Amino acid sequence: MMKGSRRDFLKKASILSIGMSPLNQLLGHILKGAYQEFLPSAHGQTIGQGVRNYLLINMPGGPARWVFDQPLILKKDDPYIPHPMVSTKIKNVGNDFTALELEYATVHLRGLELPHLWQLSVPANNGKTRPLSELLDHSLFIRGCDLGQDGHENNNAKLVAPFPGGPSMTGILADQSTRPLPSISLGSSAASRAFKSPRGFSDYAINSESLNALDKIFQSFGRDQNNFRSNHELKKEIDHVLDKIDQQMSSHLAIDALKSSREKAEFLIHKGINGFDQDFAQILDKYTKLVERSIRQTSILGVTDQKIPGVHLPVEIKKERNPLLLLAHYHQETTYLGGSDLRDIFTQAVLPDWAKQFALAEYILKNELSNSIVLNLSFLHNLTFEETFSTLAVEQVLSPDFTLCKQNKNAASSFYSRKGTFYYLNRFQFDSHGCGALMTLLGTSLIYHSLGSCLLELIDQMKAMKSDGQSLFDQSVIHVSAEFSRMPRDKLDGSDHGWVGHVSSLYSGLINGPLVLGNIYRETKIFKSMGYSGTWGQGAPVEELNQRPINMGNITSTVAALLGTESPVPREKSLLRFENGKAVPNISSAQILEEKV
Amino acid sequence: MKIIFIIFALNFVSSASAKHLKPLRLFGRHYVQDVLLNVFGKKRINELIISKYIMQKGLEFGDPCVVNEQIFIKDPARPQNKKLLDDDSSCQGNLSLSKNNFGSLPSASRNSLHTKACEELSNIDSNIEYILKKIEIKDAFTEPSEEGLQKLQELFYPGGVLSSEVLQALLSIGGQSKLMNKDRWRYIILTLCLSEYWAVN
Repeated sequence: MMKGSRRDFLKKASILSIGMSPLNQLLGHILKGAYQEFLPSAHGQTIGQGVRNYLLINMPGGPARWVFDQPLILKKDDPYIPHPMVSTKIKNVGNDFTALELEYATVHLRGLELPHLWQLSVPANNGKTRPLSELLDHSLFIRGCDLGQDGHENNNAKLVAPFPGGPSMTGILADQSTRPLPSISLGSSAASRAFKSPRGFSDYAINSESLNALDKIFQSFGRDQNNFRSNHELKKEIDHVLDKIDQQMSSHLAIDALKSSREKAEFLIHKGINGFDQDFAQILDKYTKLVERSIRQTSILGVTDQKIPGVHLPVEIKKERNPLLLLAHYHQETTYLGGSDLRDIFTQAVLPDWAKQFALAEYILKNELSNSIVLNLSFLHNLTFEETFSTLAVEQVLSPDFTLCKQNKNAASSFYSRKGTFYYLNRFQFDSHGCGALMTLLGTSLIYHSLGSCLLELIDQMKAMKSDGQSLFDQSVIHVSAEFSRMPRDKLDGSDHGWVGHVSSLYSGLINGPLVLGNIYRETKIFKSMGYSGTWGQGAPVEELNQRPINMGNITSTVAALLGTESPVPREKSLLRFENGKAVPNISSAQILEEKV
Repeated sequence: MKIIFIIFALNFVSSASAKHLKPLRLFGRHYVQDVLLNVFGKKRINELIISKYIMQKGLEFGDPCVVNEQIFIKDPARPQNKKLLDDDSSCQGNLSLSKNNFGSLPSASRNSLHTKACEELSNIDSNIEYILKKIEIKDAFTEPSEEGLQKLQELFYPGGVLSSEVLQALLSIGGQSKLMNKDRWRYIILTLCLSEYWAVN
């Protein structure tokens, strides 16, 4: 039996619905407002204040990393299985190419066994050299990251956006930043294209073909043709009216972003690009010299410090050595490298745009133009060859017992030997499927020698810039990576995509290094059966990650934790956490694990 | 009575919070082009200025581009390089612009380009004369008036949203510097053009 009349019911319902309408709106606004507030202020940051800097140094193609930031053993007694292609040093070179032996040599530094290169010095800005190991003080090496699937584009994009199509780390920072340019990427890569800002900002992409990237960035801010700014009275009057319009509009619009963008633009227009050009030229010159000295005027101990004879024919190879495996060390694309000294290959080598990209990174960070920068570094170009032999021809003339015989000399050398520079050969590609063990060691050593030199200089500059008692390096994260490291072929004639063994290294004043995280397998049956044996960095389960290997989401969450911002994949655990203001590992120490069958 | 009071209180708080919640977004390059061509006149020189600072700046102004416009040819000057067939194509060789949102958020680079477009457009005498004719001002020697200003603001802000206080401030532009009337009109037009609120979505 219903109590009350129909009239009473309608009356109460009307009052309730009128009352609920604003309540509904209010709750909606409060919830939406709280969400909007949450986005930029995650982890206690506010927009434009204390937004940290993210610099991704991307090497699209995925070079081998075992020479540099992919330590395979951390203690002398780590149970690893050496792979002849995974080498960091030349063990024996001799006077003839048949004597060549490579090794995985390490050096004990800061309590860890690290690849041989870390005990060496790299060119410094003062014209001398400095220990590469200075980089270790604030470094975190993450190894054994399983990407789940193969592929260049998808895995390179994951460096900033581990969830395909989702927000990118660069986009999230762009949302928080009040710098003139939300995000900048130099050169082209899938990581640059994966930029996605939840609030709708665009990435400022500068193609490497652009002859003067600086002009491209600053052409927006070039001085105007109109001279009204020189008439101070007039400028004041115009600014006064614009302020009045701001005031009027502020009653119903959130004008802060518009006002702030106008002030930033005015500042940059006022400064003009002439001053920028001059500063930039000096920085560019500095990195140009560092890169050049690193790859050409250098002698890397144990790698390029002595003559390296190339393949020559005819030759007799000792019975105990497999000639195909020996020759594979000298494999470069479709040839075997000949010549009296293979170091000559690099006498005219260049790393296109490296200097320009590092110079721009330094310039952008120092001038506070953006909080998010992606560099896309190119591989070694302009290699020159004294002599090469077609692999096919050499293999055809091998005698039945796999010994190269004198009588076959002509067949091998007269038809197929080449001299000089060839377009398809003249580069050491990061995606080094066709680079044999020796070429991989030489190429990667030179690349990381150069990278180390430029990184140390950039970090020096960042350390020198202080604000609020902190250096720029303390407020930044440098992420050195590529889509994957590489799986060495047992045939030693090249390496393939190591998509189950991605490597990322992070450098920041927030990290007390060196830290190495990520378990790797000693060897797995499946990969051994496919021709990739030994220990090369395949990701193994980590207890704190529910017994699965590290994935790209964990790395991005680690970067986000260091940046003090939300992660594009918040459900993935960060590998670091903060204790008393210091970043400490969130997972147990890196180990080499046996496969459980 | 209590219920009515609560409803009022809720309405008040709700409207106050609404202001905080309206994120400001600007119209894209096509809208800005339309407004500027409508104000300054559809002339080749204006189209070139707008193309340079607005239409070719998809990154800053937003609006997706049409991928099919991208036709590359061999650069006759450097045969190893490719060159865009149409320099005015909306993607400008950057295919990622096809994924652009409509419109954009305010940014320093957008503001700077917007400013430069306004400055160059208002620097052309014939543009000032065109606008004055449009708002029925006899000639460029006529002193800026409230009536003229009302019509002028309608070009940027249809419906005339600017307060009388703003209009008074606009009228005083160039007064202190004793500029010629034509230049006073020029800087009033420039100021209106610079106020990006007419492009707020």
